[in-house]
Amino acid sequence: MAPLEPWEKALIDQEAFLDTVHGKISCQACHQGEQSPDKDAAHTDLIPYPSDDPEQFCGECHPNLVASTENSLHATLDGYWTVLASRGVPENHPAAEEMFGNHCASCHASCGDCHVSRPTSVDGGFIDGHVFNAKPSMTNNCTACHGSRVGEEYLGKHEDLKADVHFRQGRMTCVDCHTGHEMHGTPANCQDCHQGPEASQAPPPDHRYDGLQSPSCESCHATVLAGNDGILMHEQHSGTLSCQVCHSVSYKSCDGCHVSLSEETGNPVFATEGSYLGFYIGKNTLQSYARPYEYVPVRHVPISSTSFDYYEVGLVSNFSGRETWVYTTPHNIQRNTPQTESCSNCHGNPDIFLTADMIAPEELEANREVIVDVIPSLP
Amino acid sequence: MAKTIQKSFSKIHYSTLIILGGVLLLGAVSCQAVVTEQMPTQTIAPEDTPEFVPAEPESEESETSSGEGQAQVVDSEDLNQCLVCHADQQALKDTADPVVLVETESSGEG
Repeated sequence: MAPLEPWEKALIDQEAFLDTVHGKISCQACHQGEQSPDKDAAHTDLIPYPSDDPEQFCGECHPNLVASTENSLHATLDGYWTVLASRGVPENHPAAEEMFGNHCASCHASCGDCHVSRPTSVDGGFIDGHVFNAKPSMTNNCTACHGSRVGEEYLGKHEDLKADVHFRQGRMTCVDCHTGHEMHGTPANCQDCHQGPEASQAPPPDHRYDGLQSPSCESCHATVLAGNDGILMHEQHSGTLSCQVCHSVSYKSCDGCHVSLSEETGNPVFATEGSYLGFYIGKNTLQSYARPYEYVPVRHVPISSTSFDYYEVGLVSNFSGRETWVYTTPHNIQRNTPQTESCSNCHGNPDIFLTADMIAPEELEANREVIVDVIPSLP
Repeated sequence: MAKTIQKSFSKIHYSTLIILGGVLLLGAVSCQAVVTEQMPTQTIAPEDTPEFVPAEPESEESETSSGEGQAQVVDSEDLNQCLVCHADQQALKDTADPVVLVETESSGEG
């Protein structure tokens, strides 16, 4: 995504914007500042990103959305805290808080980051001349943050790998599956809160795969789940394999990320030891009513036991507390993949299953539950 | 003979000049009356124009939105002050802070 020029970031399409509902609200009602032809004077006490305080600036007209979105992962970033805590990184600890603030908190997405400008984590800038878009832009909003893995996979940026069929043939964008209900944490139906007999109520999610699958493939491909689409393999594997086990292709994994502050500029920086494409089937550690699968694709996340040592040695005090090869849902779905070509491409194939010999010795303990000990053979 | 002709011409000339002078005086008086009626209108119009032209269309819109119940409505001067720069590409270019090119200090895939 090409960066915007400074003037582009702040250019208002007066004709279009004033014609919208938000264009009826005075500039100062959201941005404050001073009325002056002088730039510095006009920008005194300016609030460049009003939706950083959504209750004050968005909640008056959108009270329900603001209330529910506060519990969404985009707002809480609980996904990060969940995995950090499970690896022994303490909460309310100065070094951990500093690290989180410098390297993780910028992933917070405000209302404006999705509906009016590019996210501030990629330097912002109006998308449509300050016009508020009900549906975020795939490239300017979603993949601006989710670009390195999801964006590149979905758009077919990896050499020799086709774009996701939903994009290639359906020209579907992110919001076609990831609806406003999901993004804002507002339930679209009963099951979004009551996810089966064991859940009379659901707390806010604490990671991206918490709770019901939303979106789910079956929402559109209902006949697959019912087993009446005439495809034997769907009948044979449904419930045992996640859809991506058969319909995904290679995706990116990363190793050894270390974060620090630059000695030259003081800016937060990271360094990863490597990234690579691959496809690996592992055991599902998140088995539940909503995700009953025995096997799922797994992706290596770049955590290491020394990732945060710049802030405090030993901050990752329980590295083996969570797997480093994690349940994943690659966004490069294809109707036909190597796995669908032949039974023997999976059954009895040691290259496609995550076995112990593929895992770094220091990570074996963490991945005990993910490792496939016995490669399924042909029945 | 020549003198007689010259005298009679002089009489005609003087009387013609007197008549013409009277006509011109009347005309001048009547024209001045018309001009003095028009002047106030012409004088008011140029004074009103600079304020009227930019402000009125936006002010009408804001009043309409106010009537629809918006809590914080557009004040035409408020909008104008911000939009003078932010809707003007050249103004933004002229007043933009200088671009500082920062090379990423991170390495590897993010």
